[in-house]
Amino acid sequence: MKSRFRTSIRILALLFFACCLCWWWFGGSNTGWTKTYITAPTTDEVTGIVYEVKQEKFVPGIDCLAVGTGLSFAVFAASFLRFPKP
Amino acid sequence: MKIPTIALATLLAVSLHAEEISFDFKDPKGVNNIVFKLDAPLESISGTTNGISGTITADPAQPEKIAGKIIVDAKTLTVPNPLMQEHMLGAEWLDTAKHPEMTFEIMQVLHSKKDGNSGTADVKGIFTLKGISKEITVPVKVTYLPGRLGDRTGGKMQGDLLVVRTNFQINRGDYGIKQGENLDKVSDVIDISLALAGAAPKKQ
Repeated sequence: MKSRFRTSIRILALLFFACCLCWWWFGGSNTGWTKTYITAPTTDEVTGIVYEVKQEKFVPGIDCLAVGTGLSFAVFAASFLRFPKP
Repeated sequence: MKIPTIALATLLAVSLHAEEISFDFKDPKGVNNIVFKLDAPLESISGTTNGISGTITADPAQPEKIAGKIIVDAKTLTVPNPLMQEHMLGAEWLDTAKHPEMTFEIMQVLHSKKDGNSGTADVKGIFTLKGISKEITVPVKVTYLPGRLGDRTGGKMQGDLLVVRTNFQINRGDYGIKQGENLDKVSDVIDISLALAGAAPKKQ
């Protein structure tokens, strides 16, 4: 029973880590800090000036990946704790 | 004989003055922009602003006759990470509460070259950042677009446009921005690119 509970926590930790990795990977694999907007270069037809048009978009960065990895390791580590018998 | 001479001199002065056009750089379209880049070993930071205003007076026939001031609202500087932006505008870095403006005031135009409606020059001026003013010289490309304001405003206003482009570098340490600190994450050298269009509406 105890062993099954520990295994469940470890699987949960692994799933959480996998979800974080997928979220970061498919969110643009941004190796910088998390962004809350992205920019697209646009050219003004009259002046020829190239300017950046902002688009609201959440792009997870390595900080999100680090927090996710840290939390999944914490959950995984919790599975090794000895729980007092009731 | 004396009166016609004075009248001619006055007329000449007025006509010479009339050739100078004042361009307003507050762009309602939000196209005017400044991009700043800092490339440190651990981190590359890139941001923009379009909170630009100021006026430049220019004589299209004489590119060396340019005067004016460009003002940037420091609080409009943005980077894509909200926490980084909070730090950048905060007291430790740009301290925009105390120093809300960055300015560049043109002093002198050197080595000007004219090619049709375009021209290049080295512009010497006073650059002020975080309350510290320093004399710098920047390479500038200017394009005069006579009668093109109407194209930009959908015919609402008629007049001329002046497009100013420049790229230059400054060192943040020179302007009292954490000199010699955090160099691995925030580069001392800041690459600045400006692309601005000023409008001179014709008086009806």
